[in-house]
Amino acid sequence: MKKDTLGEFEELVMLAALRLGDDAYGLSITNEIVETAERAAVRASVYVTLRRLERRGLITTHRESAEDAPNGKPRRFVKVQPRGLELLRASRRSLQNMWSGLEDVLEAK
Amino acid sequence: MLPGVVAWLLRRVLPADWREDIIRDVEEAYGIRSGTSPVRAWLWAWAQVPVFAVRFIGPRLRDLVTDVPVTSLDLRLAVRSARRHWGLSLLTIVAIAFGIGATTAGFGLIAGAFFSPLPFPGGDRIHEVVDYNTTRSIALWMSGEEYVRRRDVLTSFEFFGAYQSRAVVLGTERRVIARFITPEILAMTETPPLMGRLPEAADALAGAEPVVVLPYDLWQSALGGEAGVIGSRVEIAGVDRTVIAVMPPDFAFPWGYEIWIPMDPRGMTDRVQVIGKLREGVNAEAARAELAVVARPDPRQVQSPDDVIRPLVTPLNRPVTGDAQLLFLAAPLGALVLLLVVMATNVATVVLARNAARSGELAVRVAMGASRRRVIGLLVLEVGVTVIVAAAAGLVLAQTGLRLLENWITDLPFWIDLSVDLRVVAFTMALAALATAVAGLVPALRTTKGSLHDNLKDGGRGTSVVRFGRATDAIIISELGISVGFLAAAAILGQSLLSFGFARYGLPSEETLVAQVYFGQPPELADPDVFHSPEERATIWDAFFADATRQRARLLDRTLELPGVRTAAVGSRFPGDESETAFIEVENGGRGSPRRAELAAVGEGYFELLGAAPLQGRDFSAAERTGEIRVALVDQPFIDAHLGGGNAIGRRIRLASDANSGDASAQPWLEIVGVMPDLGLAVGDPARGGTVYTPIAPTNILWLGIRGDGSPWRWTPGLIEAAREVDPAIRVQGTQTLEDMMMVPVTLYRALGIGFLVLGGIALLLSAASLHAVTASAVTRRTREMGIRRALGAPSGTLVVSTVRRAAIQLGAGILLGAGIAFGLLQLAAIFPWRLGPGNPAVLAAVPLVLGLALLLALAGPLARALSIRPADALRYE
Repeated sequence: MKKDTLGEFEELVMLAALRLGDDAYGLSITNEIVETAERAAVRASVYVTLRRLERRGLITTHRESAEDAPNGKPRRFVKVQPRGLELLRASRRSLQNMWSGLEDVLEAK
Repeated sequence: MLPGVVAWLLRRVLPADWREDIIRDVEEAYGIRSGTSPVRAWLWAWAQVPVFAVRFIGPRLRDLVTDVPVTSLDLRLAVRSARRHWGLSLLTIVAIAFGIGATTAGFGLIAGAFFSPLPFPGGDRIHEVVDYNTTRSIALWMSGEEYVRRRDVLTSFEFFGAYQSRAVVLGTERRVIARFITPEILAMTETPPLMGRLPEAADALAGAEPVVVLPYDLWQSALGGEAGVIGSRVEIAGVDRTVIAVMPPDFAFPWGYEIWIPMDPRGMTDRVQVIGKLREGVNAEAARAELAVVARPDPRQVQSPDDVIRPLVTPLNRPVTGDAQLLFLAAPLGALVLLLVVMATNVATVVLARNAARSGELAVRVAMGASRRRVIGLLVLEVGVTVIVAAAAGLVLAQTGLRLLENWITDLPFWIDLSVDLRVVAFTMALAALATAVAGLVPALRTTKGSLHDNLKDGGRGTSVVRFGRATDAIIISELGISVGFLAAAAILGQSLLSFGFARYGLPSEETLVAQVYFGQPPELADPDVFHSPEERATIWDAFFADATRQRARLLDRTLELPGVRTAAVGSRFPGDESETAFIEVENGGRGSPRRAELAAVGEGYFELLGAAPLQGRDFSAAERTGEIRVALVDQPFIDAHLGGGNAIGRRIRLASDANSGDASAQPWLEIVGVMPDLGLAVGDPARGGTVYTPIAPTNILWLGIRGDGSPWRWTPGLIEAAREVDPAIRVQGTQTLEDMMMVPVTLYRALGIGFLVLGGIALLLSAASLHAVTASAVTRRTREMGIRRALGAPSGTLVVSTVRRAAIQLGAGILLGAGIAFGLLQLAAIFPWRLGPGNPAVLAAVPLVLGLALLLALAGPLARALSIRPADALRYE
């Protein structure tokens, strides 16, 4: 593994995929980031990130069958893999460590 | 369904493993967006192409090009090469400079006109508030009472002000525009006066001392910049007013440099325009939602129970509402970028020809260890240095153009700044990158395709890396196609825009005076706190309308008595006025889904006033002008659009006021009794669906037109006096000649038309030059082959025929391709709100003729040389 950490946008994409569960695909992930993280997400960046995460083995993707697809056009669903979950946990731990003890500073007006 | 070309382009840029999945998702997102606004969705879809290209192709290109270490030696070599091929460099500079200059000026104009910030603290929170009739696509104004009611209850706005504009006489003769304002108007700018104090609510109360606020320029010019101006008195429209403040230099609000007079909105009997400053943290959508609850649309402006009125809150400096305006901005810019691509393509073909001629040199470089990447870097750099010069020249051109425009249009809103700023420079740099990519990178990639080592051997024999066979054919045909297509579309658009105007309708526009007449509103409804049931309101309005109709007749009689007046008539609108449309349903069919047509309600003598007589049938009879409306007149464009040609007399139509469904089933049938000539009312109609005239119904607001001998302006005082005599409450406003009324749209469209034709002409000449260069180069490179063929006994005639035939095939294929491209471009242009003419055949024929001539000239010289060379020399020729 060349990289053992996650970029911020990679984290957002994986968290969005986890939140969406079985309904995670490119479009729904983009919308989830926009609505929940209240962040502007360029659609193309989401796909670039998904490809990269797939190459790194942090997610897998599979296409639904044509019968299940709305309008007969199958979606490509995303599933976060154990290695991806592991990196997310590590990232959360690092951030929590960095945040702890700063409540007074950050919450004071 | 995603536009086919967008899907095709996306397939070119997306990686194979995710291609169909991404396109599926983009299609789904496009479908969702189409539901709310098809035009925005369409623009969004096109915007996805560069976005995905940047993300997916960008890194690959970057790796290919930017890894090349560019040394000062490379730069010197590139400059030297540009100097050595000075003809090509000059062509590149001229072509790209024009392309970049035109596109940058277009962008600067849009950025300046629509994205210049208001120069006040919190200027981005200042919004215009209007009630919008979405059924009829008309922005309404608000009554003074309604404004006060909203101001007192709205919480979204920090300031909520109203104003009216009127020309007044300052002193004895100087005319100035006065803004009658509520105190909030100046307060929301948070700009302290240069001296004195801003008006307060008390200044506007009845009985208060009349006051005025002066702009800096007027203080300087009319009052000589006297220091003790505060407290002095000036006569405005016959009233002595005390000067309470002078505003700082360059201050203007809401539109221009004028005087400000405080006024109680309740005293504003006419309708007011409203501007609000949003509270911090409140967005326009939230304010709109609050307004939708609070607003009571002005009943005078609800013309039908089906009318849907919605409040709109739009930034004051960005009055872009709806899709048509958005397209009006985006489409010309798109056309200009396309023009730049045409220019860059022309350069690319010549660069390709030059690269081909240098294949031997390039092969030697490869042999000495240069990678493909490095060769590409050098080739791109050579074009890049000329593009940089061209971009700088383009920027200067754009700056000059914008300055000229700014000086030409004198009444631009004060915040519009057309100077070249950082945004514009960034845009120019992006254009330069695009030009370099098209003119430099594409030929470089093409030149270095295949094994350069093999080419070393070929280079030694004087042949080329780029084979001038099918590749040249394809390049020349594509270039011809793009040029012919773009130029034909530009010619048709430009000519249509130039012909836009009213000259062809033969209207007596210079002799006709038009004025809006407003009969006021029922005094019983003046007090908003007194409740009236809908039935009571309807009865009150009916009585008022009946009165207004009698007053209208008296006013017409009085107008006809004015000296020199020969004819006068009323109508809901005259040519050049804002469009009003409805969906049309035709009895027993008609053509396809409902389409719109322009509407005009006309009084007796309307057509006579405009010098028009029925082409078929008759005008309305006196009986048809009273009571329920059962008849209509139409014009020829209407018959073509809605009735499929043929006889219209006796056919019946219905007008649907519901924009969404076009359902007219609740409306009465109107019988067509006459066909009128086209008077140009539908000139601005996006649907180009002709015009329907109906007898004018009782109303409290209409336009009055007067025609007679001599200057129409001289009737203005008499008209105002006549109205006052009929009833002092009648207001005459917007007095102007019909010519003036029609001038604004005409000027705009003509300027656009000239722009298209000039750019098209420049593109044509450059296309001809580059076509000449690339063809001449291709024929020159066949000198050796021709010499050998002649040595083997081929007659000169055969060689000439074969060469010319090839050129003729190229030209024919290019024109065919161009016709397709022009057709596609005109399909896009059909969404513009103007009619496309067929295009002048002479201009359309000039495009392929000029290019064909360039092609023939390019053949003639090298061909003659090739044929005159001796076979023995030909064998040595390289």
